[in-house]
Amino acid sequence: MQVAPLEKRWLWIIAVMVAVMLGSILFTAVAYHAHPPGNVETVDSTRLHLTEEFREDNLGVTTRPDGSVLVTLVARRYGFTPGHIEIPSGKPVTFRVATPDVLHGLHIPGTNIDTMVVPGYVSVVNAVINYDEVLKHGELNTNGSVTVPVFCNEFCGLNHHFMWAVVTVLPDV
Amino acid sequence: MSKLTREEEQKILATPPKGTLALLLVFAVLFLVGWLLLYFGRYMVLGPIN
Repeated sequence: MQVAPLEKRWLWIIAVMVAVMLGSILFTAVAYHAHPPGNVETVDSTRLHLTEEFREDNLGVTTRPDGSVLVTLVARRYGFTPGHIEIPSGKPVTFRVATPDVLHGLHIPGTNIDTMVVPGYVSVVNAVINYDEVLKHGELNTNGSVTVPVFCNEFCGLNHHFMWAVVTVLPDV
Repeated sequence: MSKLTREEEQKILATPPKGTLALLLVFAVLFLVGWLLLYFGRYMVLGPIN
């Protein structure tokens, strides 16, 4: 196959561009563990409220002994339970979200937390929240915390646009 | 109507297209800088997820 010299050079340029981009992704994946959530965990959506983890009393924020935070949420038409949570910034936060009905989404502005909540599965997202970035998208409270809305970003029915909750992000101390 | 001689035409055709290559390089640099700005300046700054 005959390839013109200019095309060969362009192929090399593209190879360098792809190498830089893939190298950046690989670097952040290794150095910061930044990669798409890959958890596969099933749950019986029809009996979600009867499970130990997603029983209404057990939902919300739990601080683990190592200082990291576990947030257990249920996304249902048309809201999140609990509807208001407080989480710290600068610390590892794990979201575990499930739905008893249809497909939902979980998006928190100012963070990279943006996941689908698929019936029959537990969506797990580990994140570290950057206070300064959340501050750009939320409202600053008098105690220094920032309140941001949480949105469902997967169309889930006629009242999808009313499906939201509130997250208060505490400053990093 | 070209006023170039046959030899001049051949010389031009045999010369590498420097302008095109420069254009490609400019595009590549702009694309790469833009991508890196978005990745590190907009995506990673929000905090890593996994």
